[in-house]
Amino acid sequence: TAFTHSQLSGDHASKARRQLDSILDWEAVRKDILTTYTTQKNIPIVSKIVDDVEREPEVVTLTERAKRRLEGLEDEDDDAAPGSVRSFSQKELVQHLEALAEELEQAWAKGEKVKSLRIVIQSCKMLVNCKVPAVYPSLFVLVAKVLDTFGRLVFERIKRRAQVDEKTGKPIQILGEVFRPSDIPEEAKEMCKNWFFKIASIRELLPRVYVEMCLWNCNKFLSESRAVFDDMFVRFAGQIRGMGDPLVANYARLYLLRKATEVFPYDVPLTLTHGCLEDWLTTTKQWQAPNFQQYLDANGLSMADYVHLYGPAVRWELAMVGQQADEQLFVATMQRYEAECPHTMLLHNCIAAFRPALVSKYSERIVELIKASTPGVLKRYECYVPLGLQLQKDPPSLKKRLRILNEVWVDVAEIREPNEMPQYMAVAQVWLEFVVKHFKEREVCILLNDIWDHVGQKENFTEELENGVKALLNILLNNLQDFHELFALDKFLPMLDLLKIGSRVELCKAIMQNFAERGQTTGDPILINSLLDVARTLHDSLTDFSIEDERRQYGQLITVLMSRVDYGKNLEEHLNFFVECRRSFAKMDAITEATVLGAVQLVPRAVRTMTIKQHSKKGAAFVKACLAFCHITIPSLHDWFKRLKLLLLTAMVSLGAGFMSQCDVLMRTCINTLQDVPSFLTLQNNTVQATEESMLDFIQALLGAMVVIPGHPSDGPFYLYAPLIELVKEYQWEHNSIAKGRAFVQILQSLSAVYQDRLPYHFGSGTESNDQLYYGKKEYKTEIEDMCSDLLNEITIIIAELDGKNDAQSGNKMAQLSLELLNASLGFATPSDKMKQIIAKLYGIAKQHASRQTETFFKNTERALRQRELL
Amino acid sequence: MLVLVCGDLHLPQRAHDVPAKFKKMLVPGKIQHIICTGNLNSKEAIDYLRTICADIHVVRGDFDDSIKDIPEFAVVKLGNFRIGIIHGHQVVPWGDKESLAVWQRKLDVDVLVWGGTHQYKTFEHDGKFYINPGSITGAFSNLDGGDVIPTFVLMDINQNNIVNFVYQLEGEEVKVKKKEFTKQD
Amino acid sequence: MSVAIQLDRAGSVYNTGESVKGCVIVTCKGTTAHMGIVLTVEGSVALQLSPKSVGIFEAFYHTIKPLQLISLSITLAEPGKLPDGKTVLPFEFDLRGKKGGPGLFETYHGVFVNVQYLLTVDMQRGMFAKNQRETLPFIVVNPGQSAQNTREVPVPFTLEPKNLRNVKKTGLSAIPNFIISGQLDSAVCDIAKPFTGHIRIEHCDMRIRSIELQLVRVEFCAAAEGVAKEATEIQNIQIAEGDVCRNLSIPIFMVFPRWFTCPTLVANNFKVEFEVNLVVLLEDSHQITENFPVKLYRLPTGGGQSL
Repeated sequence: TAFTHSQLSGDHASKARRQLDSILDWEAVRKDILTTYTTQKNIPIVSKIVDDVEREPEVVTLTERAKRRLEGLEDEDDDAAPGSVRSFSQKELVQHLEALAEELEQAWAKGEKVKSLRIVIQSCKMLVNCKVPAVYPSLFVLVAKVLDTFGRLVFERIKRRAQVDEKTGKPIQILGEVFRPSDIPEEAKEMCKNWFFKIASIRELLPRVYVEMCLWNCNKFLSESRAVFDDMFVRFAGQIRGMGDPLVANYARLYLLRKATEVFPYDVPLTLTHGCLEDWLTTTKQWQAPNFQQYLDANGLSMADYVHLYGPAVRWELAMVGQQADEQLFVATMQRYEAECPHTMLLHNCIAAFRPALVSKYSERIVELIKASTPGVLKRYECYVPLGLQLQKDPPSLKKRLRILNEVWVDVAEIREPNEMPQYMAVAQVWLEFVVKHFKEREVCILLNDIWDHVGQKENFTEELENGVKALLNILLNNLQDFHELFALDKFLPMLDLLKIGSRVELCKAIMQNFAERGQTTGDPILINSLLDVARTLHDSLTDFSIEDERRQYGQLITVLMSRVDYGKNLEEHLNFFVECRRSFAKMDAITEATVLGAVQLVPRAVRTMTIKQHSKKGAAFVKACLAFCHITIPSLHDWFKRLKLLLLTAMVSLGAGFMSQCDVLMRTCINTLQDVPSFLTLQNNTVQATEESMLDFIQALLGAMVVIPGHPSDGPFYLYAPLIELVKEYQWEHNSIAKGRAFVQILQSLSAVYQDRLPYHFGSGTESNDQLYYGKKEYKTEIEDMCSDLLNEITIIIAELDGKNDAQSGNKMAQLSLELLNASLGFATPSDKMKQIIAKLYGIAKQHASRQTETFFKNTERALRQRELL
Repeated sequence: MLVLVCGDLHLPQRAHDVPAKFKKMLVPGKIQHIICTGNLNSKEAIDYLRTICADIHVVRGDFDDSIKDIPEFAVVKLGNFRIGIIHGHQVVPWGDKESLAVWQRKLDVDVLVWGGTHQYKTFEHDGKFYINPGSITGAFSNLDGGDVIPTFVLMDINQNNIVNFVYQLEGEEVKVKKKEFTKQD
Repeated sequence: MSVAIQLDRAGSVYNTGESVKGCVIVTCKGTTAHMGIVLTVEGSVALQLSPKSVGIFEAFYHTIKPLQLISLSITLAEPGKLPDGKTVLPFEFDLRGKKGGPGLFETYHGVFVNVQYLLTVDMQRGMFAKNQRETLPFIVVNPGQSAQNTREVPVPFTLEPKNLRNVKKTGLSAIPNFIISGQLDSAVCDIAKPFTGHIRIEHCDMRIRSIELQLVRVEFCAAAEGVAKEATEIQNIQIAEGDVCRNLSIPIFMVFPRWFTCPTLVANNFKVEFEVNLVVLLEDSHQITENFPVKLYRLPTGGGQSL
């Protein structure tokens, strides 16, 4: 029954197998075992490496053998050698086995095959006569690591031999993850067989079986017959029966099953895995042996402790059986549990292992079994944890579901002992998730109330319980479809309050993030208020010592919340909301800014609802309220330029809405603020920052807006330009900077735009800009011309000053500024003769001082000038 | 080569999110570069763009002061094109051809991408190409009563030719317009 | 100068009837004259009484003349000269028993009996130079040896105190009560396959310490005073460790070790036979032993050992 190549290389990881991979995560199991099965006692270990392999099979006459046995020399002779038994603490044991694994790798690297095998055999021997059973599972995983290492080394060695010719060092072929025995050269096969012969002659059972299992994978070099793998499994399982200690045997089965999942290129057949489980169940009758109690007493173990030692192995066996088992097998296993091994350890693992549909079908019976079980290390009610998890995956019919929930919770609610609260919480978590997913709000409330009754008191509220509550809240958060429901649960906020501040902030952050991710908008006042409470917790947790990123993240989350609030047509309520936010989150400029942006955005919405050109009185009042809110709020921001930008934005919105006087006030405030901006700012970390760059940047943005802002009835069309020009002159620009010159050039450009008979853009529908207001007025144009010549003059002075310096840097600056001005003049409609002269002069300067930095700019400008026939 | 051109996201101050219909189209692995005209406003917005494509060329908008290390302008060479990027608030008057041409000459580019107005616009001027992708989120702007249609541009660059696809979300419908530009030697 | 023999097969294992191929490599410094190069193939059974069993002097006097199984002589080169450097002289011969001989037996190393095969190359150098000689043993596997009757013979067994052969009836009271049952799958065994069966402890009053399989080889050799017999343990394998679960059948499983076993060999004046002892060790160091003679054979077809 050789299976085909395609089966091997194709999708050999079947569904059942992938599921198992997630359940049977060896690394996780390993860690779990090492932390669970510990001891304070010292563990005696034979630390001498015995030479069971090195001596070639000894030829002994029968009489000699008999004599040795009589003298009691056999077997024990190595162990009894003085000094060969050492006592290890658990920590030392871990180190010892890690050292052995390392020694193994080193010996192997040096080609010391015999020594490598000796190390492996010695490690296996530790599993034979463990003097401290309480630590056996841990010992097992430590030895398993050595075995796994050895298995890998041998496999890789043979594989390399199949890929590279040993003598010549020439490559033969490259083998992939999957290969066929027919791909393997005879020499490599011979090497593999030699290993098997060597191991087959190991005298002692445990090392022989374990080492054979760890090299199981190497069979792939020799055979691809399914029967061979099946037969080997059966043989190993049989040989394991020869291990008299049931605990020892069952961990050998765990190793067998684990290796089988790695080695088998197909699902391990149920008949095989089930055989292992059956064998184990059969051996549990050894617990009734007459001297068994003595054994427990000698090791200071209770029966419960002892049964608990089987946990990881039984869990693994059941998991492999359970994935494929049918109903009949499930029922049979539960019957054997009742009849032969009624321990919670087995019940717990059974519930977890079988398919959810089966567990769900028999859930009522299972609840009975749980109630009737005698507790071990695992408490009776801890069995409700796997039951709840299974029911989550396959919930029974509604009627049955409710019955089960009642049956279970009647029992669980009885848990009252303070020291049992952590376990209560573990059950509660699983069942809360079940209830949230498969019941209505009512049941969720009832369950939460019971949980509240158990853990709601601040005293006795340990860190462990706190983590439990956190997990519960997260379950609610992640599973409730509708955010409204979350806050409608009357125990949600009290539970949140139960948490210490650190956890509470963490959870509030999770709530905000969850809300942000859902992307739903809301106008529900209860929800909004609750969310604001949550947001306040974040805000209030900020101190002067909070890190910047935290502050930024919270700001972001709260801003998202604000953007998701929508009261529909009730704009007043919306504005009130921003007022509330401003008050609540005063510590955060980001939120203050967001309230301004929010309020500003209400303006066009309000305008749209009012009939065009007929501002209803109420509507107008609302718009004014919004603008006033902005006007009042903006100055509380710390950042000068944030203030300026928001003032400008609000002014533009006022203009767009046709609220001219508001626009006027805001623009004047803006100019006044700009006048007050100092040249240097002292930052929080006491460094000094120049404002020049931001200044120029803002002036540019401002000038773009000023193109369309109409003049003032009494202060004339240019009431904003004049103070702007003045402040550019007054501001303390950095020494040798041409930013000032650039600012003048930009003003020139703005003015040249308003000089046109028709402005490039307009604002709002009801507003007239200067082109309409002053169309055809001679004074209007004259005034612009005057300002322009003043500006040109200013720029000329700057250039002259630079010229006077007579150095390369200044030359470069002159060229740059000249180019800026030349380019600006290209936009002028028809340059005057005077302008043409200036252009010629500037061109000369730019050409004379052109450097690598200005080269392409100069060339491009020159080309454009020629196109307009200005040169 | 596909290049996403977008800008003025203003997340989350002026918009909840990039429209779902756009998000569906902008899947990872299809786009080689992103050109962004700025005003992302948050780190989260950049993180979102990174999920589409890691090669992002972005400039600073007037509301980007919370994000560090973004340049005022940038020039990238894609295919045979030099592409200049500015946010546009510093162009006086806003969106003015001549003023934009100054930037084109200054940066010495074949294509100038700018933004700031939240309005999609393309034109050819003196043999150079100008693109404003508008706002991909339809963020509120101070122009024209705040009503903004979400838009972005996909540039398909082939040697000396660019095909621009403009995506506009009108109501629930995505409309696509095409505009080509060929570089003159 | 040097002479070396190389065989074409890694491990130098050949089945009877196959042809053995290889070459002799002679490396010379300068042109070298020689009187001929000859390869001889020798295979023989050497019988030697062990000093352990018959005493040192008897052993010395009772050395028996070896029995020749194969003897070939192949001339690789007539007298002449070899050139400077390496000269390769290939050879090939059929591995077949000498006419009138008993045929070929498998390579085997025992106490009394040794079956070995040897290649020898001789290079005669004439009067004044040292002759060159090089030898190389090779291993012969003899498919079909003792394979006249390979019918499997299952051997069921039950061990109870009353069945014990080596205990007087009066001593029974000192022995714990037990019933051990089981079966060997066959007492006639293919040497290339594991020895299998099962054992079940149905009942045992005393705790069990270990269950072991002991593979014993028994050699007989006809000597002047009659027949000398030597039994040796060649392998001891534990099949159960500790007090095993009652009524659970445990497999008997043992791989026959290479080079220390051979198919059962019966000739005129010597034989090599095998036995398996099943040993159950009890906690008080009592042991229950059952002896099973087994016949090993090698299947006629297919060469080498396989799993």
